[in-house]
Amino acid sequence: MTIDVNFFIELFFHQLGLWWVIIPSIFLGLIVGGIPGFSAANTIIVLLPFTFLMEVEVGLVFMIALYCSSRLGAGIPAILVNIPGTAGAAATPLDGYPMAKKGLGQRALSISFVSSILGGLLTTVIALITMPWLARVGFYMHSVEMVVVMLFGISLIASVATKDTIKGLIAGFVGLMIGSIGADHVYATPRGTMGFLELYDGVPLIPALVGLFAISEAFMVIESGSFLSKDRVQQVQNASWVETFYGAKITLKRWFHVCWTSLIGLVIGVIPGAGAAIASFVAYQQSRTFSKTPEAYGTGHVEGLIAPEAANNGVTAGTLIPLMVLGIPGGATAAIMMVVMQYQGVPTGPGLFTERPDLGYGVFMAMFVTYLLMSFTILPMSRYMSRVTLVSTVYMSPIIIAFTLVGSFVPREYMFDMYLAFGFGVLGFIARKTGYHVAAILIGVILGPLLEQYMLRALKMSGGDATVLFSSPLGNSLWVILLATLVLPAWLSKRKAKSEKS
Amino acid sequence: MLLSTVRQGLLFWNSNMLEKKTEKDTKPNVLGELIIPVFGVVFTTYYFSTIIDSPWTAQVNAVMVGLVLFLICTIFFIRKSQLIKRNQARIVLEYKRFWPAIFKKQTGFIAITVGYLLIIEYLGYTLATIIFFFLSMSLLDGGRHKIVKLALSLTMAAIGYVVFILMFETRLPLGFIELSLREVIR
Repeated sequence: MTIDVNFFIELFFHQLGLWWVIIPSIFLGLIVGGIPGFSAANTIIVLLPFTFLMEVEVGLVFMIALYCSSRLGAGIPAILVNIPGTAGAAATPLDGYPMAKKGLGQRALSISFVSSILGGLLTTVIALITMPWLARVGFYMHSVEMVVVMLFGISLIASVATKDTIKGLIAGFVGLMIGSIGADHVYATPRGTMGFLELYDGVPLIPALVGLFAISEAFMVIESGSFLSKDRVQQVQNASWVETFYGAKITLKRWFHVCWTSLIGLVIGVIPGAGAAIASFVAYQQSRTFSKTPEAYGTGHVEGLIAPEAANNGVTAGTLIPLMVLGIPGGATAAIMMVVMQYQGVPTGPGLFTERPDLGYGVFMAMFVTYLLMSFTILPMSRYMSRVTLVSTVYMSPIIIAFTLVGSFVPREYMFDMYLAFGFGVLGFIARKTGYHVAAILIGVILGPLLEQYMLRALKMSGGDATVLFSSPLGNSLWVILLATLVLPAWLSKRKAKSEKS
Repeated sequence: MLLSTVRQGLLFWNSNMLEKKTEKDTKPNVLGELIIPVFGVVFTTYYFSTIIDSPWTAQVNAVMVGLVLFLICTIFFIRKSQLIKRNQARIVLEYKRFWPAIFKKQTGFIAITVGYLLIIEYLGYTLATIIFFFLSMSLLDGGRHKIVKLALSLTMAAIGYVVFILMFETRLPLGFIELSLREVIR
């Protein structure tokens, strides 16, 4: 079989012919992505018996469509009601929710959809072209380099806390301490578990996410009785299609921003064990660092919404590259896909592209077609979805609590996780009431354990020598970039202020 | 009826209490702001106590993070105490405002949520969810439109049952309703 332009054109139309699988999967993905705890991976596991019964090609297309749309779906509740559906969308409400609060929910959804779709399309095409080279990224990213990548994400704590830096740092470090709960990675010594066996594996992510964002938000909105103020209600009621087109237009105007933040997602997605949460935090932090208006971030800034959404959709193509090229799954969903492929007798790794190129390239083409179809199916829905913000909190608060508590139960099926989510909800409620940023706590909880894991691995290999953190050329380059992104903007703004004064 | 009367009474008391502002009240009360850092310090101290005899691999990360947290909290406490000293802030537990705040709708809703978590294991997911929806909506809306609320509660719980128990087969606690429906479906 010759791999040329004609092959890809034929493959495109062939995958387009599977629209009858893709479109229902898109809607299923939107639902499961929007409910915290019900990730694409969980849903695929539940539907695994059906996947085994399908033809391998149809099964893969179903999984791909579900995976991509769940990534996009997680951003919808994050924007409208401040509840990220997955950890990958945890940076989305930082600017998405303030936009919805201003009555611009429809525009925010449109921006989120267009940046997700563009990011997804672009990274899929780049993945198709650069697969063999991108797959090597994983080889160069060792523990030392990953420590610096984690620090990129953690440095976002300082960014989200611009109003009161010391409070932001307290919230972030409390999050990092909570993230340190669990058995030690080397000797399995229990640390800070308060005697709960359920915490030996560390603090589960979904209950923390659900509690800090969803439950605390449900408690908060009761006070106002509505997600929107009275004048904003009128604005949302009168919104027309123009808002959707305007959102799409301002995103397309920022095409360069979409491109480079989605590329951050693609590169981080290629690294096994990294993932959408890290990618979206790093993209947000980088976007803010290089912005001309960093002070606008966190207040409903367009670029602050584009960055995490483009990045977490860039991750989808990235996580599949190690699976397809090397046979190493880059994430949970990719691992399940590998199981399905092995069950059907399809090889993974280099053999896939020689024995079944239609499947190897077909996976990425299916991703491309899914994103293309999403632009026709999901984008028009933004007008109606934004009306969720009009529903009274009398009904929304109990719905949020009841459904997200179940979401916190689902991943591990422990009742303890429901109690834990409630505990995080109370912590988040107190934090919000007293002026602490819950996103800073969550960044600590998500990235803290990962930072510890990579740092310990690096220290263990060097026999406890901390200079190992500065021993690799790539790591050192990343250190320099990290320092530059932290110091340069502050230095430049000081210089600018000085020159303006003089 | 009873719920709405109690609510009206509490709201009246609450507004009365809030109106009695003294001059002192204009200065910000920093008591609330101390909850998170105090929690952080207490938790970190407890955490350190659990790793004191552990190997260095268990200590290194937490000690670094914990010490930085201690440092930031100390700076925060010093700053706040300086504000109090300069008479720019105050630290006081306001009983007169504390009790009305306790009886707010939020506290009632939090209590109902705690109750939901406690009964779900005994009554099963569906029945506990019906009770939770009905009570919380009645509290938040003042007990009006009871039939509508009951219908909504039944619908929401039914959706939850179909999606979470029937479709996704999660191991949510089963009670009388789920077990009876299981027999019927068989």
